[in-house]
Amino acid sequence: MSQLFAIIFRYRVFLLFVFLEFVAAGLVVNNNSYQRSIVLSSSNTFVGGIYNTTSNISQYFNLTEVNEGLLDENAILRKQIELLQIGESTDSLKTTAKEHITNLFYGMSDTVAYDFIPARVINNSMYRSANYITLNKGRKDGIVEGMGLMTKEGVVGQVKTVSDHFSTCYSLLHRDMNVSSELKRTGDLCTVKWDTQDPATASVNYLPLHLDINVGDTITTSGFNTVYPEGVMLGVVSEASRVPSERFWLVTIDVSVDFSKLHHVYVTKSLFRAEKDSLEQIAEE
Amino acid sequence: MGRETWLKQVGVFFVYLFAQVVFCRNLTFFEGNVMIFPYVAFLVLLPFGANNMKLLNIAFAMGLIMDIFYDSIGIHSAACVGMAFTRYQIMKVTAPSSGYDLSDVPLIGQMGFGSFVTFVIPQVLIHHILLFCIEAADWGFMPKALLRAFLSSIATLLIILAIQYLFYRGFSKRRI
Repeated sequence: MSQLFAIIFRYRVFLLFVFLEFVAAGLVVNNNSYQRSIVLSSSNTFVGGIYNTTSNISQYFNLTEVNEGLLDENAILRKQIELLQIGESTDSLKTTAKEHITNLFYGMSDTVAYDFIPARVINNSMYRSANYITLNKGRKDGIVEGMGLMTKEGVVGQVKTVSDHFSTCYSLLHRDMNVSSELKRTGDLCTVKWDTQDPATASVNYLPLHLDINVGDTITTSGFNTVYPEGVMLGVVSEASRVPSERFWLVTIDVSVDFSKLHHVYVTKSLFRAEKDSLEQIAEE
Repeated sequence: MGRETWLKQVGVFFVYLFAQVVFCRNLTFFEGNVMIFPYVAFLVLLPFGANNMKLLNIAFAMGLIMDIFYDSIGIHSAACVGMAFTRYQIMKVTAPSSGYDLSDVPLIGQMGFGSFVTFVIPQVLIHHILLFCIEAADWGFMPKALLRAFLSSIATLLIILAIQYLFYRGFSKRRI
């Protein structure tokens, strides 16, 4: 027995090394279970507080850019108001006006089904294989795990963990992100996945071969999973090829959001999510 | 380590942590191919005689704190622990014929440019290769990860050298 202890003592450094590496590996593998991830992620109060302070300082350097973005968005919203007013004055125009509106702003078909919570990006990365975004709003502002993130340009990500005042979100540039999407022109369903490790592109899976896909086609969200509204931009097809051994098109899109200029986002809150999910659950049973 | 040096190391720990999290985290160059992680210098530049068990634990703690800030739980920890484990072997290989003075801290002023770099670069390389390869998590991206690791190691080394020349020049003869 004492010899055993002597051996353990002799190799204690190596054993500790192996032990710590196992702990680290365990953490890497279990990164998605979120009991521990609130403490061990950037949404905890201390880390979030530091990121908030640093971004409070650095945001002054982007003000011009942010203002221009807000101006663009204001213009779109103004147009929306105009169209609404037209719609109210003449009944016959109402339906066309509504169609116009839905196409103008995010192309949403069902605007009321979603609420938007504006938030500021206080931490963002784009050159890793698993990128995360930290927002300066959390549970107290109504954010819940699983909500979507978008800007007027398109899909940004999805909320991963929430603390009272901060939230950590998967960026669209995360290898585990799957976005239910559709080819806008035909309405065919597909899935956008970021497996290119390039912050400017993503790939589109499950587009069947009988479709005609051209460079320049738009991919938008499908709205099936109540994370994003229907018709939010994801990107434009930059490369599409049929490979004989594959059952689906190999499609690459240029991501519509410029992640290097991400300052403000909207968190999408589906008002009917719980209802839809429980209905679907009943149907499955 | 005496009490005073211990406190000093804790101070240095927080300085590196702060610098990494607030400044270096946002610095990426050449489309993400070059990132800098000068915080590893804290582990590399602990005294030569640092207890191996302590070293591993400190490395794990440092890595875990970085992971929390980078939202990359486990990756920095694994890289730091791997680096700390190889430190002793590297010390054996790179030691001068008279051996290192175990009460010394690795400083460029004392060791000279050549032996300082040969002591630091293998550790930085091991850390960066582990970091980028674990992160890539996909064999297809390994070449890219290795390229990034090499380029980033050079950048990190340059920063570490700059820190040495800027802040530790006066310590060439004195011991911390």
